[in-house]
Amino acid sequence: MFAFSDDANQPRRRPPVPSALRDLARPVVAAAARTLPVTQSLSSILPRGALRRGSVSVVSGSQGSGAISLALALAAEASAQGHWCGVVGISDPGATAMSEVGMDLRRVLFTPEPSKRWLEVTAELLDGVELLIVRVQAAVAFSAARRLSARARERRAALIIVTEHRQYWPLPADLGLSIRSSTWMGIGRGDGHLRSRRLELEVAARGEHLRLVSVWVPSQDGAILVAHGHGHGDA
Amino acid sequence: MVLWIRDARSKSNDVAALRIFAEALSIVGQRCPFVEPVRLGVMALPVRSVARFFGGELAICDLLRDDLAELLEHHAMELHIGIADGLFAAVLAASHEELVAAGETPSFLARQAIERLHRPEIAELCQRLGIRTLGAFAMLDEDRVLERFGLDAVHCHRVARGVEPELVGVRDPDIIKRLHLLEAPEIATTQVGFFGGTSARDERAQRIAIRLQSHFGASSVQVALDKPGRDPAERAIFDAFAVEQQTVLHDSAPWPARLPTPSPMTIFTRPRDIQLFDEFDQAIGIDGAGLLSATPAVYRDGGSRYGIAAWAGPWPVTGPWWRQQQRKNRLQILTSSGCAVLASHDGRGWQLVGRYD
Repeated sequence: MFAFSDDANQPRRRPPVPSALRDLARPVVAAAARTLPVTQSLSSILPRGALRRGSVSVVSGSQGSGAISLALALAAEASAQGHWCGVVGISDPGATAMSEVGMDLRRVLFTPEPSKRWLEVTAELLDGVELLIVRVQAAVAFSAARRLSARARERRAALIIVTEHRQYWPLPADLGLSIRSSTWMGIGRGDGHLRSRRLELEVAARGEHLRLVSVWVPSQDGAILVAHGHGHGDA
Repeated sequence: MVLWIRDARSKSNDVAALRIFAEALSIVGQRCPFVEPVRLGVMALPVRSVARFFGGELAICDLLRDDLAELLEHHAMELHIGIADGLFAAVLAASHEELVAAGETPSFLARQAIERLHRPEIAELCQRLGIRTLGAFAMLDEDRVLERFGLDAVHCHRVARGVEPELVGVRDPDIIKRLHLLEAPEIATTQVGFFGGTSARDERAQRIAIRLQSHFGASSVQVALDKPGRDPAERAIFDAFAVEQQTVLHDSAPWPARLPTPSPMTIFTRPRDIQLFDEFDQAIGIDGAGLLSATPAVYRDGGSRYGIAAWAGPWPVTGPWWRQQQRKNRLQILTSSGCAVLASHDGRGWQLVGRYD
């Protein structure tokens, strides 16, 4: 005879779980701990609307096309919410522009010219920041890319690679944002000023179809805006 | 019991040695949770009480040797194990690789040279008195020691007699702190003290910054600084990371923009000279009224020429009165390939100062 099944005819009813116990039984890793927040407008083009910790994103676009601005725009919300960010290999960053994009410069570590030891620096920085932007100006070796991806995964940091050519990062990425074209608005022949920039993006998220999206980086009022996208689920 | 891990080649730096030591500690800790770090390379564990569990003192030595073999071989480190009563005697035993049986510690200590106390003054004085071993030192009357050598010598005397287990100075009081600093804690998802105080993730980032600087030089990690009187749109205001700067950073106000937004994402720390030309390839400057002398068509940057699709400005930058001579004009240029740059004219020529990356 089992102590707990002596009344088999009656439907067994679970006693309510005490609230103190219920709190304890919550999942240890909350969803927020697995992701880093992104600006609301950009979240619509990202898988699950956020940057996953431990993931690798590759933002590619020719020099001056806005790739750096786009990468920083991805990082801005996390930075604004108090997460530490690292910026590697961007040699002459404009502090004003970075804070305009929304970065909180009080929590950004810069390693402007790590030269030949960029791999070590990057791997080490991944220990201290939750989001790391690395600009690479030449093809990254397979072994180096693997090592960095593994390190980012292990440290649960989001790694954003900024590069002129997507091929410079030899591994598949969790998220790829490739700038197809970049158009400035507001500037004339001697009048107006650079006001807003429209980027045509190819968004390649792992396990999803390729999408084309237009993003304003920045829009007229300085914010990041998604103009329109194609093929994003029901959008 | 004391485990002494010695660097055979004494090549590795402090941080590397600390890291290996931390790893060794965690390996030993899996067998004996009571292990405690004494100083870099030296750890102590109360072995008499647990030896029976492992089948004797020799057995536990062999177990720990096996556990640590791979790590130490990889880093070319040597392991010395010693057992004796009291930390001081045990460290000495480790340096001799001796397992001193229970109750034998006083006689073991008595055989040690007086220099082992690491008190040069006492050793020197003892030598002159013909006292060469701890045993002979221990034979002295405590009152005499106090009289002749002072209070610290009394403490040493007690250690030599085996009355006190620990010699002051054997332990590194900072070792635990250093080990903690080495170990990056898990990401703290709750943030403490966002305003004012520092949170766990602030500390973690600072620690990594310091570590990077120790490996790659102070300028390897930089932070943005708000230095009054500088124009951030023209100059990159970055400085080497330093913990004291954090206060400066936390007080920083929004960065003033003297140009219409957006600001250039790249500010060239070494601006390049460029030339502006009109459609007839005539050089363009700024006239007395602060206007372009002709309609720009092309600019030359080194060996490359870029078509100008649109431009805005020039806008005069009026500096403080003592720099009126250095009056500058800024010009935004959009190239025909769609790339936007910022040029500056200082009265003599044009320079490329920024790019809207």
